[in-house]
Amino acid sequence: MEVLSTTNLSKSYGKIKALNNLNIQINAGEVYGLLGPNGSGKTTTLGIIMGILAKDNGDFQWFSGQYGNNPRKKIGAILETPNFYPYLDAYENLEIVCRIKKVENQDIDELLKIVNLYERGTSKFRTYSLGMKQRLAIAATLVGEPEVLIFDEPTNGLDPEGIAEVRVILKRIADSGKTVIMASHILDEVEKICSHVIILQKGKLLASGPVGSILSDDNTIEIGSENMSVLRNFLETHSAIKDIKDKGSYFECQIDSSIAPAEVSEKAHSQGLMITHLVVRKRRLEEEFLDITNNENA
Amino acid sequence: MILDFIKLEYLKYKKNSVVTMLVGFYFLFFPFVIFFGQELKVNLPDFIPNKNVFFEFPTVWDYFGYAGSWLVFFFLGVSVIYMTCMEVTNKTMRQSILNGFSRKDFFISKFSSAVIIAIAATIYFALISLLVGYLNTENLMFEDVFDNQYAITRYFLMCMGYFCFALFLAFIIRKSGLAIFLYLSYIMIIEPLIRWAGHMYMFKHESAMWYPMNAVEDLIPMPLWRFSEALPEQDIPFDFLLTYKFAGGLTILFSSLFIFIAYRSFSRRDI
Repeated sequence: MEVLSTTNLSKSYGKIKALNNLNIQINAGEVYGLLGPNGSGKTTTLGIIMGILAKDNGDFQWFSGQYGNNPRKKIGAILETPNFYPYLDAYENLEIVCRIKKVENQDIDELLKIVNLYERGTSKFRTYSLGMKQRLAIAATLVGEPEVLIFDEPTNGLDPEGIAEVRVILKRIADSGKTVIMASHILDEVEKICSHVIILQKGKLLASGPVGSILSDDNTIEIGSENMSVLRNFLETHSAIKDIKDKGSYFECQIDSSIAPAEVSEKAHSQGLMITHLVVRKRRLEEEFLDITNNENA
Repeated sequence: MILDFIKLEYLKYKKNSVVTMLVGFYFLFFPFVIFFGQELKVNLPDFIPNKNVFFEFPTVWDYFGYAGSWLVFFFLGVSVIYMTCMEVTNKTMRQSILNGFSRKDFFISKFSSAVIIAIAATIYFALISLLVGYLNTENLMFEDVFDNQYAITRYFLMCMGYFCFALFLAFIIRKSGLAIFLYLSYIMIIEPLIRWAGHMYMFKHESAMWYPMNAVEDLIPMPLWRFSEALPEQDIPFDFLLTYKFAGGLTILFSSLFIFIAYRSFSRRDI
């Protein structure tokens, strides 16, 4: 089922085109990573579909229109920062969210336990660390069991411990079968949590689809030898190897998935080259992302 | 539905120190007006027989209404601005929309809190005036008690006049410091300047009295004006004060305009 679709969504801030004819589809039950560098239009997109920013052109539709033009009670969303009343505690703040969403009988204790804030539930919001604020915001998105959750850079500004805690919670939510849209520029995070990605740059859609389809089958290898210039010659003449980058003590290159990296090593050996460093890894989302965005820039 | 909004607003503000303090000052300072009036040592103008007139029916309505209008203008007007601007500063205005409020819902909830505050302020004014008048009037006559030319209705309209202007500034400007500064300076300095140094200077016409905040002030004018016949003739070819009906009409007109513009701006802007 389609949860959200946008058609030719556009918005400008003065002369800057923040969004340029964006067309995306979000399907139920999938976990989407909305990727792009700072200023690529992620928050603008989320702001428009959540009704806090006005669009210039185009259209969007939630839940195929079945909840009318304000379906936001069915969606849990945080944009940019956790926003609460600083002089109220977690219970009072969540009570306000429940009233806005018209949710009765919400078990607030349970929500606070999910995000590990139960012990601090009666402390005022202003006394919370950034990590705790972010976790309270996540708890607020879960009020009323919404069908869709939207997180905007949920680990932004957190310390490593905070990042780890938030990621565990997000992973659990993602695995629970809800539709999630998560904007981020931290690719590692998206790769770990999301099933699909949507890549934006300068307000344009560059690529979208399941993470697997974005990632190519090629492997990345790191290869090093005592004689780097001979190694470079060897790599350059090898037909299955491309994209050779000098990393100092080793080369990083892409190798066709049909060739086993061991074959490369063996062949080098047969030509008298001593391989001192060989690491094989799957291509990471980060590399694909940089490739996609660089191609667009070129 | 409106009741839900009001409950929600109560939850938001009952623990907000600025709002509770400002609203508290209104209720606290009102009774002090009595002591102040009784301790008044200045020489009264000849046409006021004695200071008891402040506390007797029917003039108690004028005196307490006028004193109350200053408290409403300052403490309650500022708190209405703060209540809206605080939601912008904390980004809870934005979050309310994200959580599922429509902009209309949000606007109505702010407007209803202003109405509730106006009702509470008016009831308090009515009770205090009735009590003080009852305790100080020697020959209590029923027709004297309510010979007040709808003072209670005028007081409520006065509150709404100030609050609609306050909401207008809060929704348009959104920064509490600047909005409060403009609110106070417009009412106390800018509008009188425009009226007297601009409008009156260029055209000596009574339309110089038809300004929004002047209309609100004329709903409950300074009690001494009641004796204005006794004042020396002014060099003004028309009535210095608007009639209550006219002031009321203007207040309703301008307040509706303020609310209309504020709502239109709020429903279209990025937040």
